[in-house]
Amino acid sequence: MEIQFTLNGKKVKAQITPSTVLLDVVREKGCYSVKRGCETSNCGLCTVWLDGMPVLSCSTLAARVEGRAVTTLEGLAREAEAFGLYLAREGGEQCGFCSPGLIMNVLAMERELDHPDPEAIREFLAGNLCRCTGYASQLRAIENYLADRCSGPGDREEGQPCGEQGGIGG
Amino acid sequence: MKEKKRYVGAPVIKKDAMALVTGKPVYTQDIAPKDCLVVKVLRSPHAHALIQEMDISQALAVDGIVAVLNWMMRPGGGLPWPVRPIRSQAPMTV
Repeated sequence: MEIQFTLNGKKVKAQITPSTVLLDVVREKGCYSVKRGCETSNCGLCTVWLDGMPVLSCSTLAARVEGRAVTTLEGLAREAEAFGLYLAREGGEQCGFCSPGLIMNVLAMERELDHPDPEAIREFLAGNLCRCTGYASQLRAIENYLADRCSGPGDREEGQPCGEQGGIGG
Repeated sequence: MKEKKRYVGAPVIKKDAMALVTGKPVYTQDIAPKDCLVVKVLRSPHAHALIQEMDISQALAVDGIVAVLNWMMRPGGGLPWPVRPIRSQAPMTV
């Protein structure tokens, strides 16, 4: 069967079977930021946005995204770079395999929560495992990032929270 | 006044950090061709056993199996790793 959906702002088509998962489709379309981790909805590595909501693409049937908008880290390149720099400064990316999934959720959290405290941040990101156990450095990076975002000169332009190609819901 | 060091006590950003955090295809699973063959290593379930022969006919009969490789197929034959190179034999290949 064929599905049509919006991937990072572009309309795409894909040939799928009823059991194809979204993870395989987005990787086939060249979105290699979406990592194949546990494939059992435990690790958060394959996090993408479906109509702006973070979902685990390893456990989302591709058929369910028909007509909807999928966003991966490739579609949030500028924001990924901006927050990624904070992560890198703290050494929080380490091996880097969990970073894209974590960043997808951090950016979703930034939109959803207003001034989250460390406890709220930990709770929001509880589904993102890091086998290097860089949790403390990740938390420092997130706190620094959010503090700088609130106090003026950020890395992004005013009123452009999603970057130019980004956009919740494509 | 305390001198501010450029490297000592300052965070150092890894060379590959930005490629990692922007999700560039840098891992084996990202760059392996889609149609490449997959190699699976099968180890003996018995420690320190002497393998005298190996019947691979059933493995070869499985759909999708392209080849089964073992030490008997090495050029020049001989013992599997680890052994010391023997002059009279063909060079070792892995």
